[in-house]
Amino acid sequence: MVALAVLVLLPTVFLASFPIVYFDEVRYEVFENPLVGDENLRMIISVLLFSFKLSISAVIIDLVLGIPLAFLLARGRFPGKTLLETLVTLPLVIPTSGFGFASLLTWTTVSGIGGWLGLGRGILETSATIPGTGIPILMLIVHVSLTLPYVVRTLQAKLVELNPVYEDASRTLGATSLTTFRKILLPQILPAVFSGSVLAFARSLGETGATMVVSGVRITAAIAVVRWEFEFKLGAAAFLGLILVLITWLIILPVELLLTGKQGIIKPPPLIYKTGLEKVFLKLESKLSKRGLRNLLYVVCIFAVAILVVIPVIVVGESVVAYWYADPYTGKREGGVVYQLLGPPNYLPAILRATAISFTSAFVSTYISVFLSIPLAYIIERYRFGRVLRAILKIPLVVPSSALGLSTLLMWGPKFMGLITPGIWLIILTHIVFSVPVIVETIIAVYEGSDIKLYEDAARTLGANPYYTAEKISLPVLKEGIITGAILSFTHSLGETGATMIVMGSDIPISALVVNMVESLAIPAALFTSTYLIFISMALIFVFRLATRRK
Amino acid sequence: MPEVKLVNIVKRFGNITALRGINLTVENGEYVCILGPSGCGKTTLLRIIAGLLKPDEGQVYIDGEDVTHKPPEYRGVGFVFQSIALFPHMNSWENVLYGPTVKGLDKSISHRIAREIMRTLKTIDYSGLYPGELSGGIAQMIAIARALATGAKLLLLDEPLGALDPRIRVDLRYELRRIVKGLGLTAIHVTHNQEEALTIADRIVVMRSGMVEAYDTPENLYWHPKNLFVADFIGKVNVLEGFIKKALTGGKALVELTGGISIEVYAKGFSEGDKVVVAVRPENFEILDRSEADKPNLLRGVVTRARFMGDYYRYDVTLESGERVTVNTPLYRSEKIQVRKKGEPVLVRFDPEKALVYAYPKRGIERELSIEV
Amino acid sequence: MGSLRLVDISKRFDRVEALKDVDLEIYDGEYAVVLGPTGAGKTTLLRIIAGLLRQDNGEVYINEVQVDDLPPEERGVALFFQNFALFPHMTVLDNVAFSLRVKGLSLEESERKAMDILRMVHLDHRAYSYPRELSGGMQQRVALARTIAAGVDILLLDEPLSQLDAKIKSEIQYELRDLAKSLGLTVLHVTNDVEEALAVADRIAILNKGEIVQVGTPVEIMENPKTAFVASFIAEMNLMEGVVEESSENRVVVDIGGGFKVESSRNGFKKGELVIVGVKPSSFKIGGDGKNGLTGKVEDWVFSFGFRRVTVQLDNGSRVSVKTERKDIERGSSISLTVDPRDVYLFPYLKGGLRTVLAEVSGVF
Ligand SMILES: Nc1ncnc2c1ncn2[C@@H]1O[C@H](COP(=O)(O)OP(=O)(O)O)[C@@H](O)[C@H]1O
Ligand SMILES: Nc1ncnc2c1ncn2[C@@H]1O[C@H](COP(=O)(O)OP(=O)(O)O)[C@@H](O)[C@H]1O
Ligand SMILES: [Mg+2]
Ligand SMILES: [Mg+2]
Repeated sequence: MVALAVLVLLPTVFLASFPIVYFDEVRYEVFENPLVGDENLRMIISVLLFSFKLSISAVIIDLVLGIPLAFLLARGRFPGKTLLETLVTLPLVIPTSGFGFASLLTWTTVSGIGGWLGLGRGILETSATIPGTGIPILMLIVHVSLTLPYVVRTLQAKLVELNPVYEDASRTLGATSLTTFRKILLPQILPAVFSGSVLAFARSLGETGATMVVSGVRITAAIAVVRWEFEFKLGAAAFLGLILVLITWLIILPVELLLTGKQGIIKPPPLIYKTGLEKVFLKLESKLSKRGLRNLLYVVCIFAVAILVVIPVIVVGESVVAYWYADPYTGKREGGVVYQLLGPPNYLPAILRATAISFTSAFVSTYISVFLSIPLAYIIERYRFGRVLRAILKIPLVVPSSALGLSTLLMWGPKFMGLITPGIWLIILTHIVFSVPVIVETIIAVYEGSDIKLYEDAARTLGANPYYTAEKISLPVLKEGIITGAILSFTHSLGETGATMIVMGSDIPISALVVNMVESLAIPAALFTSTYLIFISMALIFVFRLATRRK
Repeated sequence: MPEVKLVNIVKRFGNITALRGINLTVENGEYVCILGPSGCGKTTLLRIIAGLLKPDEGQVYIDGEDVTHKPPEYRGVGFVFQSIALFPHMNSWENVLYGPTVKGLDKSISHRIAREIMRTLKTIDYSGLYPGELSGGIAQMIAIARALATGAKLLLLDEPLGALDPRIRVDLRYELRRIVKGLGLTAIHVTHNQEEALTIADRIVVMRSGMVEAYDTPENLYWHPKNLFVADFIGKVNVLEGFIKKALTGGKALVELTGGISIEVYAKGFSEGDKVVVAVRPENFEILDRSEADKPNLLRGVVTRARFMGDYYRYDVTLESGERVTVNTPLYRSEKIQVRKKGEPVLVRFDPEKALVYAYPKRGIERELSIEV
Repeated sequence: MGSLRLVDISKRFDRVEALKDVDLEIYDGEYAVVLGPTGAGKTTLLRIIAGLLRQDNGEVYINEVQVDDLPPEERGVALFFQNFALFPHMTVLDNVAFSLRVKGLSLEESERKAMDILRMVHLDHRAYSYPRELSGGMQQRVALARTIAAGVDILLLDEPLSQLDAKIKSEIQYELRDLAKSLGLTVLHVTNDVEEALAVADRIAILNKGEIVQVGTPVEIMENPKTAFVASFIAEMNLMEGVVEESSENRVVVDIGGGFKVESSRNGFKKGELVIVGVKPSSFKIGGDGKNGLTGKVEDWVFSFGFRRVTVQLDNGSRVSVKTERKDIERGSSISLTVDPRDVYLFPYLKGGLRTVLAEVSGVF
């Protein structure tokens, strides 16, 4: 418990103390800077507004695409379902900076879709915005692909859990499939829609790795935290970080409370029925429920996933090949991968070192997190205060990662405890903060999905003591959850950028290296590193899947 | 008016063939039970009639119209599920109102329909309660009300009493039949419970491994089952092996059993020397005292198990041949019942007209009686 | 050795009183059944005995030793779970061998013994399958084997046959009893099925809403139900309300309305008292001119195993069910019934009358 408090909970809330303890510093930087006045404050407000606009739009698109996809994955039976499922969740496990770079190539350069279409340029400008909203299209695309898995996974899990007999009942009572969706499914999955959206929103708000790569001139709040930390404007960074954390809390807490209070069902007010629109809806739904239209919708959603996820991965792979010896357009050897890695820029040692750092920190933090998570999951399931603990543990999951990184830095680093200076150990400590909740949540999901309590009772009445029961019954049954959690945490750790960049000091891991390369315009090196990172992650997952499936 | 006709229905799941060519006609106003062991395809068949599943081959006709490709919402059938499946986010009233509402009926009309059907089913008092607050029996009655409120005249029930306590099941059987008959509906009711099928149905379809084994009235199935499987599946039978020793007059024959004892039975279409099985239901055996040893069809044995079952005593008797038979002695048949004890030697007999005689099954008795083919 | 004694057990969950002062004694080698509708508190009772749940009040004695402070593994009872609770990550053999290994038996020895027990339930050929690969009936037998393998003298069985098809169940129930008897076990078996209880029990305790309402052998309970609830639950008796009109030694005449009077040879009811009259469906004689003549109309009949169950609407408005082997009953025809006064049961009237009793039995009407 102590370890938990120190390692996981404290860093999450530590940020709150900073603006209070260092009030003067904050005031000096944010409110009354002698040079720029409250320029920084106005900056903060503007990046926050921009971040909100972006994240809300991303969530809306997530829902439009995610609900049909989740339904298709939960209820449909078709060849290639596992493939679709893997594709949708791929962005969860591939490093975000690498993915961001892949998207950048795909949309804005001639190596991507533009080139395929024979345009001779990218089909988008990096700075292109949706007319009238000021939201950069590329950033939106990246955020949608990175947050879509949260919506789909949450909804899919809920739908799988729902007994399809209610849908059957509704159909035999004369409701078309769309009417059934509106009147029967939607009220039952509404909690999942909320929690999925909240997760996606928080993720989008805190996304750093990919965003930094594709951002161009626009900055989101999460990036601002990282930038200011680099510029040693700790006061401003902490202030912005705190606001981000507070906002996420404000959104999450009510939703969590609302959802855990009632038995997971929200009864929507009978608005449609009352206003007499019901008949119009029924007619419309009956028209739209035609098989062909439904299938069209599915095809559109699948197509969107392909464009968002698959094409960038292909493009980046293809480009590495094209750029191998030289820039294919100018023909210059300086623009080739080989030159940048082995020639004067000499990125290879940095890549190797970064790889070592990434894997060490991912491995160590996952290992420690697993050991912390098992007893934690047990405590959450066994004791009354477990629910509160679980809610608290959700915070690191949704707090913007750069804010979280800042918090750990401030807590362990020179400013406060002075125990650990930025570097690989601090990376590990930071990663533990968000790895533990990920693993705990997956273990709990397996725990609640199986009758493990019953098995434990059975073992006890058959003469086994609690320790023997835990060893022979509980742990083996939970194994699947533990392994899944560990994979998620490992790959997440490999790809994490926002928090890592803040706490890494001079130990640059591979995800941060990609960002650095892009910022210093070493495109071929970035290309190679992104591809390398994406494919290592995919290979790891594949190996894990094989290893766990055999049984 | 609903009449259901199934023509050569075949359904496969991967390499399992759940239905292997079902032909069946259910008349308008009939209450038909589909009876068979778990996994024989009952639910699959019912879901095909409702349109929740599509058959791989064959056609479904309702009222003479081919509805094989019609989606469930346009078939006008009411479906009742074993798991009850009341919508958890609606109270009883809203559940019943659901059908008329999604049909787009005017509010006043749908309310009137819901109210009427709930009154008829005596469930109106529970209108405001949510499914979680109802006992199993009431919840199922409301589910039936919900199915009927759509105006369905064809009611499909998938083990509707399966999730309820045995005692409640008994009461609801009569109630269900009363409702269906009272409203002039056609009902197809799936169950694996023999007693339930016998007491509720006009006709029973006996299914095994995706095929129809028999389709007849309860009394015909009980008294004249067409094969040994059906005889045993509808209430147990004791099976005695033997061969036709001699044909007697009046359709009777003398059968010599394995133990060497000869008995008289009604048996047509056999010739001397044919191997046969004689099947006798436990309640058609009687146990006699030694003093009545002059009656025909007597078998000697020893009581190896005796249980009091409320309305009857159930004895297991091991015959001299080594075969074991079950004898049920109803208490209401006679004034004085003599209770037998374990280990007591007894005489067991049956009336020739109550014995069923079948040719010895080619694949052996055990395979013939097995619930899988 | 295995005896079990429960003294004054009570248990309350937030709003429900699941058990109220339950006293029950089960003797060494006895096969006892607790019979009651769903929600009566049967599972709660077993979990308390097994030590998985702590009672609010009362004591549990096993072999005359108070065990309330012992954890489940030290109580020497084995519990069969209603939905089996077979360990999903272990083979059938490992499931059965689990308790043997807990005791420290070697791998070979525990497997040999587990195999012997599997043979007893005819499942040795599936020893290396996983539970999910077996049918419900097979899983039930594995769970039974695992419970027996615990090697204790007392088995607690929670609705062990509830997941089986009616036909399989009606045969296997007798074998379950024989098996327990042949191993000399003491069994406490709970169920909501009357037929199952009659088939296996030496003694039956009837549990209703957390209270034990009657304990006795199957014959005792069937012949002498103490309350209207037991009569209806166990024997499906027809119940009618009435007022005692005459009462003398072994003769009570009850007015059941519509001019019908029935005579009963039971004692203990005063003139003018409200009573509930109970008659088994099989006690009615059709036609004839015995005592207690009742008349009515045949509303419907249904066929069951060799007999008919006739629903008669009596002329006083009440509806009774009659069991008969006669085949000449026509729907809609008039019918006259008689019943021997010895077969007319009388039960104390309860607040709320017949409706309450019926609601307790069937939860519906
Ligand atoms: N959706 C399905 N997928 C695969 N097999 C199925 C499916 N539904 C039923 N089956 C198989 O079809 C057979 C018949 O099943 P079912 O109709 O449910 O039987 P019953 O209702 O008589 O118990 C069984 O062997 C079952 O395993
Ligand atoms: N863990 C629990 N929490 C709250 N109520 C419970 C719990 N377990 C049982 N009950 C209630 O106690 C009563 C008895 O339940 P149970 O022992 O399971 O009955 P039975 O096994 O006879 O069906 C029921 O009303 C049930 O709802
Ligand atoms: Mg079924
Ligand atoms: Mg129970």
